[in-house]
Amino acid sequence: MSLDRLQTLWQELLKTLLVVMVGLLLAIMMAQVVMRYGFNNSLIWAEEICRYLLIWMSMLALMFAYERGEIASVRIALYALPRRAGFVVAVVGNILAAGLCFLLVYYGFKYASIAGSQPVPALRFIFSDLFGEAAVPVPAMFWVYAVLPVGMGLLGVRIVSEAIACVHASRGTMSLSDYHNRYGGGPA
Amino acid sequence: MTLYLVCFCLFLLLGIPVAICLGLASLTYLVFTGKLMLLLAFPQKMITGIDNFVLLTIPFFILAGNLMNSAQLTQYIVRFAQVIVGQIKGGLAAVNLVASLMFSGVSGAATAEASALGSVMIPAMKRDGYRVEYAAALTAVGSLLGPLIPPSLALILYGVLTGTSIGDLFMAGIFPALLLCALLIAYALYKARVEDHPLPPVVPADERRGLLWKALPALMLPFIIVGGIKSGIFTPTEAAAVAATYALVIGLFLYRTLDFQRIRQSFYEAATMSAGVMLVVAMASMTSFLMSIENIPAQIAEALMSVTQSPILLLLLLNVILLVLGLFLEPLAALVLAMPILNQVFPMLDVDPVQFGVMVVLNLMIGMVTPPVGLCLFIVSTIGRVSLEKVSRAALPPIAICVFVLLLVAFVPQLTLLLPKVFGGST
Repeated sequence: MSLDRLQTLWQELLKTLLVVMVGLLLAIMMAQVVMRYGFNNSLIWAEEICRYLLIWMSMLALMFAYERGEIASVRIALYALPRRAGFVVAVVGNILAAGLCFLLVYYGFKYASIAGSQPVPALRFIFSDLFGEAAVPVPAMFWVYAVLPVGMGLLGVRIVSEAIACVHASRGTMSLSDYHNRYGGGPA
Repeated sequence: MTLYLVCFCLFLLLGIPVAICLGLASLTYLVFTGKLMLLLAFPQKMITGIDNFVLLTIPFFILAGNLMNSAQLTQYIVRFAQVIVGQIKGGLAAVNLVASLMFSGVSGAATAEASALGSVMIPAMKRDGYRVEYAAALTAVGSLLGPLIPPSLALILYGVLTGTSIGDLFMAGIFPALLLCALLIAYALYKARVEDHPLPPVVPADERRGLLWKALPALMLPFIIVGGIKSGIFTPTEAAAVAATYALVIGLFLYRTLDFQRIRQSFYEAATMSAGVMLVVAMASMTSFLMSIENIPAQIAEALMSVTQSPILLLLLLNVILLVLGLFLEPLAALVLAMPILNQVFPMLDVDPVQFGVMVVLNLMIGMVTPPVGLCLFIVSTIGRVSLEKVSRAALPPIAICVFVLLLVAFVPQLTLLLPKVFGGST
């Protein structure tokens, strides 16, 4: 399998995961409403699980959000520069941004391993309902916090590949604004 | 703090995404003040910033809007607006604004509204002989109705940050939005007489009857949301989930325009769009953490108070500052950043938190239609293929109307507080 195919496959997989997460969020929230009004029996773990799902979803979607231009940026100053300089500044900006992402990967994991030792409270309820008390080890909060460095890492890699694409494009004749309009996601 | 601001602006000019600029500026600040041990607090603050149950409303409301949009609701809304407006000079401009108002009830963000309506209305107005920059400017300013009519992401965020009732905030935004819409229509009709704009196309009689039934379910959505929250049936988060489910159901069974592919795409876009918002919130919470350890909000509040003690002048001054902030920052980021400071100044102001919320949100939203960081302007100028300068100039008179409404919101409490008061109680 070629590298390109592998990348498409991996992206499709991640997209599907995001779709499933949004679907799950919606399903749990609706189940909560139905349970409370229909059966007068709230799901005690619903709120907490949804909050963690939101963190997971947001972090894993960052890479695509960047790609689609959902993370707004200001490019007027770049476009006002001469063509070559505009590309250079754009690349410098990308490197700085990626640097922050990778720094957050390091400290994100550090934070997750220091603060994430206690078990996820909501999962404890679910697990003890399903398997009985303490039958199966409950995942620790580490798994909630660890998604931040993962998401920032993916975003960082995506920004680096953007920087490389920028360097390639700067050798051609296309202006920076045309380049962004064609490959830069949204209109922002 | 000066260091932080200078770095932030510098990074912004490099074309780095706004949210990342917030983080980079925080990082530079930590490096230069030698507080590197606080780096471990960075991921912690990011997570606690977005670990909030009410923030879940954001993906749900975005999803509801996306689903309605990909069910091709925009077409029905525009046709229905044509029926309402009827045959008057400059009618299509009025249709644009009426449609904006109706679309606001399904979309929570101004940008979504500008791109959905813009892609329908700007070409249509162009075909009918309107100047493109006028059509684009009107669409951009009309999209500001989105964040005032429930659901509104900006009002939700204000509610989350201040603990103000989201149901009350939603209700409070309605009258200002109606007023803004009416004034903009008056402006469009005046413009139509001066520049001799054409009559809008006629909607065939046999199409008319069906349209109400097509548009009505969408128009019901804000009432379901506000009614549900205010009567205590749903929490705001549940109301948002219900709204998304409602959109899914009517898209599948009433319009029958949703298929699996479209639903999947709507879900996916809801995830990415909310990720953009969440990153801003996460990064901004690190910034407000830094500000709080430096005691910046109190210092700024003191500085403001040393300028004037009069609540009225203070309110005016605050509006000017927020307008300037809105010029350079995306509204949600500006909201998160400004909130600690606003909380300090607020007790001196003698206004209701609900009224204050609508004021702050409308104020920051005006920055969406002004350069240099006007996302709505970027969108409409891309759709209309017209230069940013031309649109910005054409947008000036409608922006003046927005500022006028802003002043009314700031100084006439009844405009915002009447509805929440009539429907009493707080949830």
